[in-house]
Amino acid sequence: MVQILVNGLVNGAILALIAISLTIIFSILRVPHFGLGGIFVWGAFVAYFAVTLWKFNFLLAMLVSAASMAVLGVLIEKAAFKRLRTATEDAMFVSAVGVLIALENGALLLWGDKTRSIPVPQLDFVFSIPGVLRLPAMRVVIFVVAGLAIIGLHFYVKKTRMGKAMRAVAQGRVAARLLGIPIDRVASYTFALGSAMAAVAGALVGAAFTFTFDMGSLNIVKAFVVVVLGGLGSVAGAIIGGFLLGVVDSFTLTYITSEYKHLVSFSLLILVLVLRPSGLFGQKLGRPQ
Amino acid sequence: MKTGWWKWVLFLVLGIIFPFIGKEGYLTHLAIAMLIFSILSSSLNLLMGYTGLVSIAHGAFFGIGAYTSGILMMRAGFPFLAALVVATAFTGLIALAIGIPSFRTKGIYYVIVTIAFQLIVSEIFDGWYAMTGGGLGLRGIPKPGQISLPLLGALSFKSKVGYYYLAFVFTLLIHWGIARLIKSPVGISLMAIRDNETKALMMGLNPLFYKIFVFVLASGLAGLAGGLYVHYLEFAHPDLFSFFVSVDIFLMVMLGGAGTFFGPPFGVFVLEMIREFLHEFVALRLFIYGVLLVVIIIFLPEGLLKPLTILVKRIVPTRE
Repeated sequence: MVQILVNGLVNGAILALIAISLTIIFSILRVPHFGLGGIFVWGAFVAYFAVTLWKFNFLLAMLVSAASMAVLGVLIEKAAFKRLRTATEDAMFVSAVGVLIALENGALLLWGDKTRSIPVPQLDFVFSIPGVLRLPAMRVVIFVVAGLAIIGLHFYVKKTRMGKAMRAVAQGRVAARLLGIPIDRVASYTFALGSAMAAVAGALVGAAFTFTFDMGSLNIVKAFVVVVLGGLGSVAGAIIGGFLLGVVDSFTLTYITSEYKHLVSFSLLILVLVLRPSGLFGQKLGRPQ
Repeated sequence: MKTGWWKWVLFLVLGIIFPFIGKEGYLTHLAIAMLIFSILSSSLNLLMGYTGLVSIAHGAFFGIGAYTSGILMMRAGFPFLAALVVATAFTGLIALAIGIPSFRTKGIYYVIVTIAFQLIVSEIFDGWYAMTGGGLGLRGIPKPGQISLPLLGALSFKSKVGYYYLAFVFTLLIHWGIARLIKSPVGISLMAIRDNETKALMMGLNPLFYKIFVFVLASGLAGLAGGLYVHYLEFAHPDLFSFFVSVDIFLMVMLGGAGTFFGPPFGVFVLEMIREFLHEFVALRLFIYGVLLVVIIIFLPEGLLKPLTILVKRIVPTRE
C-alpha cells in the first residue's frame, strides 16, 4: 500500500516536471507544445551517451542534457512555431505533433529501438523498510531534482527581468509588445526553459527506469492530462495534478487492471475537459475559447 | 459540379480499366488500399475541411468498423453486406455517444479529446483479447462471396480484381454523395459554421446539431471503410488502426488540401507513394511525415493540390 503510493508519487514527480514545461510554454506563448515529448526522449538519450560514452557523472550528464535540449528547443521554436505566432492554436498543435513524430523517429533512426537505462553506479543502493517499502536511491533523486527544478523555475519567473517579461507576455501579448518587450527573445527563453525541464525529466526517467525512443508520445499526452487536471496555465495545479495522476495510475495498475493501464487516465481527461474545462483546481473561468 | 463532370467520367473510365493493367498483382492491391483510404480522407475532410473540426480519432472509428464487421461475419455468421451495414451503423452510434459530450469543448481541447478517444480505443483493441485477439490480431476474417452480374457473368470478390471493383463502387458512391452533400444546404451550413460559428448561430442554424450530424456521418463512413479493409485483408490488428494511422489520414487531408474536394484523395496518392518508396524504412518515413506536417502547416496551409493546379494552369493555358 505504502509502496504503491510512493511509486505513484515518484511517477507523479516526473509527470509534474513534464506538465510544468508544457504549461509554461502554453500559458506564455499559447503554443500547445506536444513536441516536448520528443525533447523528453532526446534528453534521456543525451544523458545516456554523456554517462556511457563520455564517462560524465550523472548530475553533470543531466546538466549537459538540459543545456543541449534548451538549444534544440530554441531551434525548434524558430523552425516550427515562429511563423505560426499569429495562427490558430489548432495550427500550432499540428506543427507540434509534427515535431513530436519527427523527434521520436529521428531518435529511432539515430539510435535504434533498444531499451536502455542510464547506469548510475553511485546511486545503486536501496532504502528499505522490510515488508513496507523499497525505495531505490535514484527515485529519491527524482524527488530532489524535481523539487529543485520547480523552485528554481519559480524564482526565475518571479524574480528576474526575463521572468517578468514572460509574465507580461502571458497576460497580453499585444500590450507587452507595445511596451517594448522583445517577444522573440521571450519566446526563445521560454522554449529553452521548457525544453530543459523536459530534458531533465527524460534523464531522470532514463536513470531510474528504462527508456525507449517511443516513450515521449504517451508521456506528453499524460502530461497534458495533468495540465488539464490542474487547470491550464497553473504551475501549482500541474504539480498537484502530476502527483494525483501518478498515484491514480499506480493504484489502477495494481488493483484494477494492468491491460487497460491508460484507460482510466484518458477517460479522466475526457471527463474533465467536458465537465470542468478550467481543471479541478483552476478558477472557474468559464469555457476556454 | 456541372462544369466538372468530365473529371467524374475520367475517374470512372480510369477506374474501370485499371484492373486490366493491374491484374492480380501488387498494383491492384495498392489501388484497393488507396480507394479505401480515400474514403477515409474524404470523410475526415468533411470534418476538417468543411466544418473546421480537427479530429485525430479517425483511425479509431476505422478500427471500430473493421473489428465490428469482421467479428460479426466470423462469429455471428452475418452475410457480408449485413455485417458492413451494421458495422457502419454501430460506428456511427459510437460517434454519436462520444460526439454529444465532446462538442462541449472547442479548438485544441476538442482535438485533445479526439486523441484521448483514439488512445482509449487502441488500448481496447489491444487489451480485449477474447474479442479482438489482442496483439496477435484477428485472423481468418472471411471475404465476401460472389455476385452474378447481367451480361458479365459471375464476379468473385475472392480475387483482387473482384474486390477492387467492389471497393471502387463504394468509393465512387461515397464520393458522389459527399460532392452532393457539400453543394446542398447542409454542406453550406457546415461551411458557415466553420467560417464563423457565432454568426451561423445568429443566422438561426444550430451548430451543435450540424456538428454532431457531420461527425456521425464521417465516423460512420470511416467504419464502412474499416469493414471494406478487413474483409479484403482477412485480418485485423490494433496497429492497423492506431494513433499513427489517425495521423496518416490527417496528413493525407492536410497534404491534399483540407476543404477541397479532390485534395484528400490526391493526398492519399502522394502519401501512399511515399509509403511505397520507403516501406522498408519505417523510421525514416515517419520522420518525414513529422517534418511534412510542420512544413505544410507553415508553408502550404492549403495543401499541395491548389498550388499545383495553379502551376499547371500557368504552364498549360486553357480557354476560359
